[in-house]
Amino acid sequence: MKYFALIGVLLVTVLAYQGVRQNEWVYEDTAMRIVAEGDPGLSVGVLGRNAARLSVWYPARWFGPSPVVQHVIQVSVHLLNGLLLFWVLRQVVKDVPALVGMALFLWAPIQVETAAYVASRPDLLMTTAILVAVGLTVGLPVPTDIPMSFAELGRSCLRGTGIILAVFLAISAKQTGVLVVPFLMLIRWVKEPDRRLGWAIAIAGCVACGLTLIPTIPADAGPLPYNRFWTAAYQSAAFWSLAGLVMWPHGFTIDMNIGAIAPIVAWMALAGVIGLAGLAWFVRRTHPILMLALVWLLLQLSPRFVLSLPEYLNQHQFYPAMLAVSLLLGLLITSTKTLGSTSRAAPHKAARRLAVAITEDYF
Amino acid sequence: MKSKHVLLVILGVWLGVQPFLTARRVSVFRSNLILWTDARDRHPDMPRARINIADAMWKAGMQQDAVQDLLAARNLLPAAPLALVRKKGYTFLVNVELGNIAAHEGRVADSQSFYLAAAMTDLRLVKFLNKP
Repeated sequence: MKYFALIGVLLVTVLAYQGVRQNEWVYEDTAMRIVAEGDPGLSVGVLGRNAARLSVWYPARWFGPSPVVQHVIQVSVHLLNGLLLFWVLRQVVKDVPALVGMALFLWAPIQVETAAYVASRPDLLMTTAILVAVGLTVGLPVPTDIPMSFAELGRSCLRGTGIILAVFLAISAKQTGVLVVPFLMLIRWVKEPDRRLGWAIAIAGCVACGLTLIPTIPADAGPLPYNRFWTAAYQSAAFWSLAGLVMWPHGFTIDMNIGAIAPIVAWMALAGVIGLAGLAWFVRRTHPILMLALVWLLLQLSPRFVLSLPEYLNQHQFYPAMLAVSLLLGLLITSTKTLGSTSRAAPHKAARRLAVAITEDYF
Repeated sequence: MKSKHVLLVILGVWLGVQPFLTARRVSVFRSNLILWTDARDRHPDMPRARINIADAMWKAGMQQDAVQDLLAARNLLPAAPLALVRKKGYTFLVNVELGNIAAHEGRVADSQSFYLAAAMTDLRLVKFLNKP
């Protein structure tokens, strides 16, 4: 039954995205079009998005530089990411919540800007690598005093190698892939809390945020109209707008108009993000999975708090953040098991019970 | 009905409509013209959408429509909530595109004045004038 449902979700995704076969190269696809037509444009170092470029260049050598080929690859990687997400979610929640989380990840219209837009190949590939790294880290055994058998040791070594390769792929697909490093350390901390590891995570988080910024700082940005606090406020507004588009999937556009919102709303958005960070801190020991989901959301936004960037967070940049949204949905479904003990409950009482239930443990 | 069931029904309906909305959104990415027409219709006050739809129209041979959107973008730019670097870049682009269209239509004097306006935006951007 589980496998039928899984295949059903994948088939619906394929049907939803079947229109991509008719799509041309659009807007920033131009860079990938040049790669597909023969110039891989590889650069020295891992920050050049070489993995993403090669993933466009190599298939184009076999099947030609047609946009159809690249769009089929886009949707295929999106499907693969859905399956990997199911594998990761299945390690923390049961089948049905994991399946629903996967369905949201695959079906949400906010994902179209990534899955149907070849210029977003770095986000797609980075997410694949992140899911592999996270899935392998969740499954890593916690060291104990009991000696490991030879087979267990071999499996752990294989997992460790897989994690290192996946992190390398994530960073070489897109520089923000480096944010997975502090996150993997955090998963480790959840499995085995340690004060020194906590400090190491904080330092790694700061370094990762800084590293992601190096290639994004405009060389001749000139004086920007907003200071860092304003930028943080408007980036927060973008973050909530994208979260809103997931909740209420209407009004999508490639040209987000965040700068036009009222300053008070931007400040409230920033306060909301700080509130999320506070919630993650308070539930870190009691509800670690909820904490992990919130931290992953915030990690995706964090580099944008550091410097004034002229671009706002866009829909394709929300693709890895959707992993956390899917996990939150999985937790929500799981928590509904504690609801419904009484019939016809007043909505506010039901909402309160749900809020209490969602902060309970899920194992 | 139990509140659990109400919640699950709402979740089911919400999740069930997502693939249909996705299929509709996929068709927006069919071509530059469709993509930027959609963006302009949703945010008519955003210069970037106007500039990009003008570029798509120009390539599709719709010069007059392109000029209208470029002029609209030029009027919107001074008050647009954009970083200074973006404003300068877009002002440069608008003038270059208007200059290109004027040159294509044989209005040499007009095209020169647009190119001059582009150069005056930011001298550092002039290097892009000779690039395709």
